[in-house]
Amino acid sequence: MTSAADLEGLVARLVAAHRPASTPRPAFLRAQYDAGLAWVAKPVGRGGLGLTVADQATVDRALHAAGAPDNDPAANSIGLGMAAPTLLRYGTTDQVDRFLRPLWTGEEIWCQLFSEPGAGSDLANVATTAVLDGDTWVVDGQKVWTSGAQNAAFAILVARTDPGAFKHAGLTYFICPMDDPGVEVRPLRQITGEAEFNEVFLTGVRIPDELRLGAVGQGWEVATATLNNERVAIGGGESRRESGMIGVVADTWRRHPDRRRPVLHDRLLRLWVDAEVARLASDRVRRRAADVAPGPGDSAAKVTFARIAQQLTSLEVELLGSEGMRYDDWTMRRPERVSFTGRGPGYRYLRAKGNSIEGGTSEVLLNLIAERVLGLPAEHRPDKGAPWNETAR
Amino acid sequence: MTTSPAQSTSAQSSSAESSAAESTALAEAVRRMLADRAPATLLVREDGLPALHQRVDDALNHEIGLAGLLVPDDQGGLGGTLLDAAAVATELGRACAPSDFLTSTVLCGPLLADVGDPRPDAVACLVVPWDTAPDGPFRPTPGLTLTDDLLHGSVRSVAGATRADVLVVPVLLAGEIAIATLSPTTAGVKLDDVTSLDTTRPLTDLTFDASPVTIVAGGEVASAALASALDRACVALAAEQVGLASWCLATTVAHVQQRRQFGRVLGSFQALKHRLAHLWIDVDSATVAAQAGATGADPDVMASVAQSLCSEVAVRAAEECIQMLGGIGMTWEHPAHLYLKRALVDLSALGTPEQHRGRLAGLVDLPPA
Repeated sequence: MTSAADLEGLVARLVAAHRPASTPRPAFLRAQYDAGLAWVAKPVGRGGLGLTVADQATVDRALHAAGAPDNDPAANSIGLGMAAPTLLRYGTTDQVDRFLRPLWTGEEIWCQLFSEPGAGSDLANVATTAVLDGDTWVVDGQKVWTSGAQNAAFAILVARTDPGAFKHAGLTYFICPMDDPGVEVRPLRQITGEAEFNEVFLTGVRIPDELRLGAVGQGWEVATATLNNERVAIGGGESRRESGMIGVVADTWRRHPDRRRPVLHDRLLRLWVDAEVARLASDRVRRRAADVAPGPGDSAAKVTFARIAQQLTSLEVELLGSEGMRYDDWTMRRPERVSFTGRGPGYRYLRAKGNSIEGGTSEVLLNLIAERVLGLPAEHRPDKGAPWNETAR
Repeated sequence: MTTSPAQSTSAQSSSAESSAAESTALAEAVRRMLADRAPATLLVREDGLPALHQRVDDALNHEIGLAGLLVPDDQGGLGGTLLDAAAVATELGRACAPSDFLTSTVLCGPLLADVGDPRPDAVACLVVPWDTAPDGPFRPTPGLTLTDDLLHGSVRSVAGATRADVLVVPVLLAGEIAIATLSPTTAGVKLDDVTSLDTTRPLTDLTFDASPVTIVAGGEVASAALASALDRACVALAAEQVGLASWCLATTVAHVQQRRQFGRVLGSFQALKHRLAHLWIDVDSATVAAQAGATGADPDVMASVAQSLCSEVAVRAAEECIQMLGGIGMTWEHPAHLYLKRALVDLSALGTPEQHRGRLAGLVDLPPA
């Protein structure tokens, strides 16, 4: 039986051996990982103790109380939320040994090279090719919507290894070193004025075969597992009542009694209820995600999250009247980390527009629910069941 | 110290799991009984509804043994939880079955126990209009007066009165709320059946003309018992609405999977697929809300969260069902209309969604304009 006291004992032992005040941050985090206190729900030897996600809260409280540093998860959300679960599920022992610890400590940041100009919702349409040359893959193509590429040490990459195979069967999943001279990262300025994302051009990038994740031709299955984790990560990030966007907008309401109107009040309360129920629902997803692979039903959380964020941010701009007509700053910048609730109401409104696009558009997710949960017939797909290089694109 | 993954679940969560398993078993028993005793083919034969009502409640109370479910063991009841009651209510909603489970077993039974007058085996009815909302201090029905323990006045649109053997009436006594009880056969009590929009939960107008009552509680005890009774009923009604909405969704999905027009099954049209996916998300949210309310944490906030959300989801599910069933949904023969009528009436039952949101405004510090 692992009680809270047992876990607190483990934390106490870690903190005693590596005093947070005098231990460099990376060293402390490495020790925390080795003690299994990084993410206790993960297996022993992989930074965890095979416990539950709920037990992590006990550990985090004890670490926080002891003044321990954290691994700044917002700076490596792709690594922690997507690369790590995929590595654990499909990686070889050597790959997990090599990559997981520096990923968790934040010493190596990860990014994602999935989407392309011609492969958005239709991700299986990727045209970036990987051709085997001896025991090294040579990769050529263009990727887009890559957040954090400028800081990343590694990327998870989906590329086409067999253009003559069926669309979904010709893909393979790789770990791509971002320091390869063939990798060029260009910022992509977006609706908010900043460049949170990049375009990434891959020209003759060389990836040794030992950095392939999963079998040749298994890329679609591996990518799907990654994306399910992304949906959980984007849709299920809150746990305290009024955390997230609802808290920001509720505070705006409380601070501006002069701007309150009856119709806005009912809209706000409706969204408060929706946000509270979404929070309880995502707690349920999170509890389950610890031991069960995420499934299509969890996409509901993401659709709901996007809707609530968009309705709340629009309400906030309207509530603020002339104050809502101002914008904090259009200067082009490359933020290290993204907070949907950060900056001003105009930024929040504009950024929330991306919530129903990134990580699977709401429309694609609704198809997924209709087909996989409700069992309704699939959309007509002329591209399915034909070799990729013979389909219309 | 050793850490064993298999043994890591805390005592609290394992007891929550076992109680969830009990609720599931209970739900299955109720679902089987309803499929047998109250199939939709009987539901649409309105002349048989009172007999059906009796059959359902006899089976619930005596065969499955749920009489006194929420009355504590030491007061002669079963000491069940609101999670159990919510599981039963969901099945009753799914079948749109006539029953006094919500009004008697959930609302009134434990209320009588709370005021020290437990009657676990009685059919009890709280004599208030069915749209009474829990919000602030309870106010008795206007015009209802108590003089020398004799009750005068009338209350319209009461649910759960037709088969009641004890009437529970909130009244003012010396300016304070009090709870009076009497039998429906008492002198001066008149029950008039109303032609109800929702025939599966008949409403009754009650008139009292110098009817002698027994005062069973007053003051703080009476107010607290009424407040928690209404919150509890809101959660059970929300659970019922989840069952109702689930039936509507399942019925609609089944229909669009077999009905063909333009040479395709209807369910292959994306316009319908997306609507049904949205509805599935809403029903899932309603399930989460009702379940959270049934755990009993933060009871007033969660009762209003669940009631405001589930009421609207139930109406939308029933409306979508009628629309996507097309012509068949407009017929008397198909039971969909009964679900729509119950959903519509229950939008206002125990308070409208807007009233519940207004109540939340006070509870969570989001003051009005």
